[in-house]
Amino acid sequence: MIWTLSLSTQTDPDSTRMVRRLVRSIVNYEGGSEHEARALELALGEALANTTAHAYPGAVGPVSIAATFDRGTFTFTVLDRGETASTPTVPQALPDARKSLGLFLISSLVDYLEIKQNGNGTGRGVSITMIKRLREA
Amino acid sequence: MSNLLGIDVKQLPDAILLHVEGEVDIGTAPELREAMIAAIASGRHVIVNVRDVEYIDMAGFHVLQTGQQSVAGDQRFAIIASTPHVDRIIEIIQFRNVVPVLDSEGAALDFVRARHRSDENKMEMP
Repeated sequence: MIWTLSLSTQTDPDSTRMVRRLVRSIVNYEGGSEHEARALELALGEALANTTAHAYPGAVGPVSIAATFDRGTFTFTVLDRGETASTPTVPQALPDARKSLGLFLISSLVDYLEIKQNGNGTGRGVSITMIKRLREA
Repeated sequence: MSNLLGIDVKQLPDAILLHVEGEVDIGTAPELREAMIAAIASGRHVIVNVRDVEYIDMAGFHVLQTGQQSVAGDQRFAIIASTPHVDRIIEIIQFRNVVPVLDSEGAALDFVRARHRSDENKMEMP
């Protein structure tokens, strides 16, 4: 099965909560295990929390989520339109100062994680792309 | 208190146990922080049981880390966690190096009370 899904929402807690719950349901629907569904729910939740904290500190802003499912592999991209001075880097090991723990956690939950600045080509915004292949389906 | 997060407070003479249910995320973590800080202000040991949470993310773990950093003197802080989805996060972020993690209420009470039963002030992390 191959499909794509696009969502436009905001970074307020209620909206981001709905998105992560939806992701968990989708993973379950596609035959993912509870373990995988919770992992992807958490990864999306952390990506949205990162967007909330860094793209729109102290405010609520727009965010879009693109999802693709292609023969057992999920790809999720979270894209904001905020101003970010520098692209966040993904720690390769547990950070000593326990900063960027959310990104480190995401990288441990998915098979591939990429963060790009100006991901939408407008000169603003950061995209977080996460790929995970279901293994327990 | 939102209907997304439930916190049951159990008062003991020497400890306060917070039993947390529901979802701890960026929206509800402040409620957990408020309850936890109030418990710590009592001067008693504080145990936060997250065994029955449906969801907890880094916002929640940051609050728990704050709890450990806020106790003073002989006061001790610990959490209870023993479910796969919570344990997985604890392992990834090596949270046992930050906060004592026990798997039952009895074990957590033994841990926080241990200092008073022993002349030794140096306790090993569980």
